[in-house]
Amino acid sequence: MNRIKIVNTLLLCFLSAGFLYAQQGNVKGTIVDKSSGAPLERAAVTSSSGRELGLSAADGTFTVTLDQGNQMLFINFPEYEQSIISVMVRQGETVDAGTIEMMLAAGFLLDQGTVNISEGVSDDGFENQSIQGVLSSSADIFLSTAAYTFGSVMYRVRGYDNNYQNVSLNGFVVNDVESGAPYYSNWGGLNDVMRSSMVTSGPEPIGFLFEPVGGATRINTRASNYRSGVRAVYSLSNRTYRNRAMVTYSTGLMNNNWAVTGSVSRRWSERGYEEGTFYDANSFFLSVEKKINSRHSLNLTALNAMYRRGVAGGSTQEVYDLAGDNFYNPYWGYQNGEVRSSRVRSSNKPLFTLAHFWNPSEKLDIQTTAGYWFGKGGYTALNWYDVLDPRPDYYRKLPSYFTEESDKNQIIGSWQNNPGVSQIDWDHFYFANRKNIYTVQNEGGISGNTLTGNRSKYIVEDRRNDLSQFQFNSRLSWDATERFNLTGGILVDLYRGHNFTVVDDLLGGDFWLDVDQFAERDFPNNPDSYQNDLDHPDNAVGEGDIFANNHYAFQRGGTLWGTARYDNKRYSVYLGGHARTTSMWREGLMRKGLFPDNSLGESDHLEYLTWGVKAGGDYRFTGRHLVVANALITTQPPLFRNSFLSPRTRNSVTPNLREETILSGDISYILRSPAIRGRITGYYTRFRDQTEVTSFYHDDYRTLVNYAMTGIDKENYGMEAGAEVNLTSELVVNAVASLGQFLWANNPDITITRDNNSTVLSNEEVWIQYFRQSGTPQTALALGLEYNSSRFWWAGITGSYYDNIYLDFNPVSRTKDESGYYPYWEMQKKADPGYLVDLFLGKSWKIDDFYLNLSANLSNILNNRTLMTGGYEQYRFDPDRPELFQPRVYYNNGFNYFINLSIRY
Amino acid sequence: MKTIHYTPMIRKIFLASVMALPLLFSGCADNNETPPPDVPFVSGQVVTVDQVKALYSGELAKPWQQRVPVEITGDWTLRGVITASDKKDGNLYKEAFLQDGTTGLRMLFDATSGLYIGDSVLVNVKGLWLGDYGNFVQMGSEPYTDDSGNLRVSGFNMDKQVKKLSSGHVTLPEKATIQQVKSAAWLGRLVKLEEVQFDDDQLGRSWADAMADPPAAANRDLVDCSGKSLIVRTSGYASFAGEILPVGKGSIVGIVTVFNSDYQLVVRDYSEVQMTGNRCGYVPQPQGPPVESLSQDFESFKDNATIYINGWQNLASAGGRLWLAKLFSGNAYAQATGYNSQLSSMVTWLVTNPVTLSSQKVLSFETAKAYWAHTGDHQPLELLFSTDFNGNNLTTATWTPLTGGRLATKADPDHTFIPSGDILLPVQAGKSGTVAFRYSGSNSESTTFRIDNIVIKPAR
Repeated sequence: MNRIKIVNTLLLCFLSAGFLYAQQGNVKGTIVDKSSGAPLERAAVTSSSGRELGLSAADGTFTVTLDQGNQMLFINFPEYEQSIISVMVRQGETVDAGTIEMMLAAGFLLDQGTVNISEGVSDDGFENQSIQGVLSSSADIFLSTAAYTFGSVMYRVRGYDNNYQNVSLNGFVVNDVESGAPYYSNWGGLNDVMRSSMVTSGPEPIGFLFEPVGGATRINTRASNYRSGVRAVYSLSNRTYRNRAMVTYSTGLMNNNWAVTGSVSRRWSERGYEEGTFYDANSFFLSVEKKINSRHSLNLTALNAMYRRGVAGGSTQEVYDLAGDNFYNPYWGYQNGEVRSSRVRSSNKPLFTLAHFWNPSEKLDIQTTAGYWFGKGGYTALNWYDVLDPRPDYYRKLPSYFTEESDKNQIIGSWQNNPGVSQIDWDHFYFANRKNIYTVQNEGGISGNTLTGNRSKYIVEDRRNDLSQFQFNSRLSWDATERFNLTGGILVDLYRGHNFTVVDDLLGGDFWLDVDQFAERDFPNNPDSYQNDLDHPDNAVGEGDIFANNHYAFQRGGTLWGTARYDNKRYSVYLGGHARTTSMWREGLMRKGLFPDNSLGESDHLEYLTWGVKAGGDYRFTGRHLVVANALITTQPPLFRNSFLSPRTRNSVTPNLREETILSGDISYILRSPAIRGRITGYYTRFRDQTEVTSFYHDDYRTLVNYAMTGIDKENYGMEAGAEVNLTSELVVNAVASLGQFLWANNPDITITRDNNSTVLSNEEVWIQYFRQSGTPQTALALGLEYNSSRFWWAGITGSYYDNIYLDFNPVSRTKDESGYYPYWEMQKKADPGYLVDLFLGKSWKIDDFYLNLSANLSNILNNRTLMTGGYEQYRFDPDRPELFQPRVYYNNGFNYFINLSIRY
Repeated sequence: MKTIHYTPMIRKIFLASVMALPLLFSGCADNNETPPPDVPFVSGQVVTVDQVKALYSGELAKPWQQRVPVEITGDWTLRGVITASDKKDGNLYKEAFLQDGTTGLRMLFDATSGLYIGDSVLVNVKGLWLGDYGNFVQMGSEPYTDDSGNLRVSGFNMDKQVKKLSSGHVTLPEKATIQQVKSAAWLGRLVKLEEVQFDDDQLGRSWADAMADPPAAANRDLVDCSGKSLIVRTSGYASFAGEILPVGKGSIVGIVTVFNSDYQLVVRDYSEVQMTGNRCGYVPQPQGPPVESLSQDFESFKDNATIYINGWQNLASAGGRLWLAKLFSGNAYAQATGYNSQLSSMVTWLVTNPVTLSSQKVLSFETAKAYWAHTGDHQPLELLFSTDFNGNNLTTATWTPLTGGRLATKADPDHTFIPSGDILLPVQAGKSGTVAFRYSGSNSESTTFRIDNIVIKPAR
């Protein structure tokens, strides 16, 4: 038996892809589930280039034909970790690869909430959304640990921001255009049909586009790739949701050459981990494939992951201490005795892809996809007028605001004795709104149009980000010779985002008057200036009406890419490149009073021509020792959301905006022997000329201020290592270490502008060189022990340790003041190191031809509730009384579980 | 392993039921957005503002150090009209004044009041507190200790306590004199003072210091023609804080307040300041009859004397400083300067006797400057000409710049008189005209300017 489970998907890209058409042999084997011993039907056997060679039969057996020589075979099966075998193929012979056992991937629990979804809101109500990346199951011990153990603490591989990875679904790139990041929630709940994927965590080619520095994920949903049968899953958890039910049905490729796969799922709970976080998600998936003949297939996939969920927000340590809970959520309260959340994130974005698969010859593989993605996304928030900030953790309501001990104690007492103090008082909003008589003269700018009614003082608004996106791509892979492969393609994408705010709920009032409150205070005698919509001044808006902000975000792009690869027995090399044109612009749909000439209509069109080159390869000393290296240089346009100073209000382009350059290199040593498998990698990445724009309420200027940092350089370097040691055939020890330095590498330029006029307040630099990047532990270690019984049960324990977690800093206090000095400069804040212990266990049964699988992931079994995973300094700050605006921080969940029962036949 | 046998029928039933699973579980997991039932605003016994204020009279009688806020415990409701609020002109902040038939009361809120002048309201006062700030009674919420260690009432939540009945009720201010309003009975009330003006030494100043960081409130002295004075207090955040005080006499509307023993007036609406009339003691100045020519070398004046020439005018339109005579090395001349004036705006005019314009007239004079402090392209001296100035209409007369003459500039040496050269006046048959030397400066733009040897004569 020649079975080697190789530890690294990296290899996938470098190992021999040569096809000796004239000199071929066969490989046969049997694929079984390691836990149950059950044969796995329709497991895909693919070559290293991703070409599907064959599928396993009902009894798990397969026979494939491939070129002679030392070959790698990749076995993919949904929910299971990829297995890689190495065989010596001899011309005309059939080699028996024996029984290939596949491990259920820890990742089949991907959507279990281990992946922490945490969202922050800065003091002024602008949300910073940070969603953990799309790490997926992987045979690499380092990456799978990073996903399933480190994932809960917001770990980012190599510290890269999420927009440096790319996720495609049947060739449709699903990264959010405006923020650049792929959002997992867009296909959440469809876990059972998203498993067929190729993943890389670095720039190694996986055969689609120019894989960015943070890696790429290619999800494939061809209906014929799913094995026939039904799978039903029920999960119980206390994480993001309590219940999950999923059913997937697949016909497999039927005799009439059609294949259909459908999946529906529902995830719901009255509350998630924190209070006030309901969850209501329904996901639908349908994939239909018609095999026209042996050379052509067509596949149509439609999916939609709809959801509405209450979001939890971070607060300051002072508030957590007051509430006696590091998981206090300031976003909810009771309405008429029932819980209501003020921050509801929702999505309804159907995606359709139509793919054509064409194999004109054995050597040529052409795949063409057209896709359309559209729909709406929303995020609600409170808005208010003429009242004290209604959020319970507003700084003026906290003990630190008061200077006298007795006053502080009074506040502390009220938090202890009256839970309502810590919540949003919905009933009061209705009470106030229902009796606030107000008369609007010349409503909507219509002379003589007088409106008298209850003007809402509190409303729920929905900040919408709707999209309409079309993509077309065609990809060609050609085996020019037995050792030489060329892969390349084109991609065209047309995107229109529609960003606007609607009144979601008037909370008992009759209307909301659409004026800019900050401008109204600054320019009380200039009514034009404080109109949000100058063409409809004093507009009284009702539920569903657009107000405050309404604009389009346009982006159009075209990409040409290609990779050439040469494989030899001892080594392989590749060379890849791409070129892309991007055009983006804003189109305002409202004429804003403060910027009457610069808010309505189209902005300048920002045009970019960007390019990139990468090269790499591997060298095999023996079958057990190899070295892999990659190098990359690329440029890319700034993100849409950083290209405009204040896209909500005007067309002004960020000053000194330029494209960014990324330089990166890594080198790995990989060991694979029967008893020990491991990898150690060193990497270095330099980001040049990044841009970041943030808006927030500035206390001194008493208005919204835009901070545009340009020319940002960042440096990410470090090492990652993982090893897995088989102590016995049933007992495995694994160890993983990630030691990184993720730095701000220079003092970027900053341009500060106010939102109430267009003058530039200052052009300075921010003194932050060698500050650390935030939001990920820069040191993460894990040690695990796993037992896999031959009696179809398994158990494991993992301990992990985290350090060098830094909070995001406030550039305001690191920028010169009028005196030309940095009087408020201070060191960056850092979270304490911490550790977690996780347990997992499971068992499977086979009853007739039903397979039952019951598993439990018990995370943080020591209930460590003080592991801070990140946070940010508030932009608002008071140098005289820093205690007023403490950083907002997040903690890792305490003990939590995810129990999963699946039935398959 | 136990083996159970299923028939295909059972299998189908099983399949159907698992497919239906998600629907079965469509349990309640939505956000609760059902509106709560209407909660009526329940008012108590309607009382007067006087009755409420009386609860604090005992405290007010004590020395201020011994006073403590008083909680209103009766189930009482005030009914009145809003006479001033922070929603107009920014002179108030998180506060509003309520007035009924008896008197007015300052209400402190925890946020912008949301109340507008003319709103008719009910205010449930049970649970609110009365306190004072410098003897001025105010109503708010629970007391707290301020930075100086004094107990103050905090702002209350308008929505919990107040119901608007309707809007647009005009409360006419009570007409009163400065002498009358300086009494406790008038505190909190909306008054209109007529025939008043800002005191001479206030002219040229702004209502408050809007340019300070942070903007600072200021007191300005308002007087009537008998010399009785009252402080007008204005917030630095008021929309008119940076405006120059009106120079005229007229009427002003505001709320009467007090700070310790100083009575004050707080303007609620800038448009109600109508002070454009002639100042107290104003005596119309005789303007001389038109002459054919004139010549003035100021040699008849003593040092520091105010310039007064028969038929000429020496007038201040801002700041109250006039042209003065100065002597240096035996030479006398007219001088204007903003130096050490403490004025944010000083504008002073020296206007000649009218001259006939039927024939061509030529103007000439000499100017000197010293200690140039004007910034940018601001000029201290302007030369103006009018044919409709009658001695009493300085601000409404038509003044046109006279060009062609040379005035001392920043580049010229200090104290050196520069001849203007000949300046031709317009020829207008049957008409006469006057020439004005207008100095504009301030305490900071304080350039000193001098004029001498003014001559107007027929062209040869």
